[in-house]
Amino acid sequence: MLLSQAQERPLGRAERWSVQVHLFLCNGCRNFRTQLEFLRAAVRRYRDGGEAR
Amino acid sequence: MNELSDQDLQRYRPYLLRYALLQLRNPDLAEDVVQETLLAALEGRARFSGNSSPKTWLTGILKHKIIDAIRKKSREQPLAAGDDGGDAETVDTLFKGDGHWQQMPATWGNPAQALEDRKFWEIFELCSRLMPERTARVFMLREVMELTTEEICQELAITPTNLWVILHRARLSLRECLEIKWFGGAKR
Repeated sequence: MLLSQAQERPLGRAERWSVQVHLFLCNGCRNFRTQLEFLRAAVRRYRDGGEAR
Repeated sequence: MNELSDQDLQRYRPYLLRYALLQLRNPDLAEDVVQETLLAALEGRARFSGNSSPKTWLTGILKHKIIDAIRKKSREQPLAAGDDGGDAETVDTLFKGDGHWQQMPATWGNPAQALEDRKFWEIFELCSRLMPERTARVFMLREVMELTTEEICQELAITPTNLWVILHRARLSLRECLEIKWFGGAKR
């Protein structure tokens, strides 16, 4: 949930720390973060008409 | 100073329509909004200074028209805090009691490659449309129109926490759909 919120607002120091520790341990969550960034990029590219025809 | 002609403006019509459709999800409404935008642009084209590109200028007008349309729709159908069309139950099954994943998100390898594949975009469109209308509206305000948290909360009269929950659910559902329909079978 914090990873998702990080897309909207800067996290506080304690939150960042807790996220960093967790990401270190959790493969699934690291994947999730990469995927969130991908989703954002994909939506914007779709909006700008940049998809392959 | 060169004034934009009607033809110049019409060239942007497909782009504007796609943008509006992504945001409003209703073809008739999107059509109306684009018409209003082009009309406003035609009437105001003497005022276009040429400091930005016509596309940027038109998009600016379009965004205002879209917000007006959303505002009007919000008055007719207020977006209540927990009301996201059953999304909540679906999404909650993705997590165990302690709040962690039921099934770990797999790695998608190099997802950027998918962006070059036409079939991916068909799936992407499908997955976007699967999102409940109200969730999609909020998600698009954030991701397509890139409004800030404050702006969205003000427009829809919801709290930041409501907003983050809705956005989180939107992303989870989109992610899940793409993983199942496209990236599925990837290594964990």
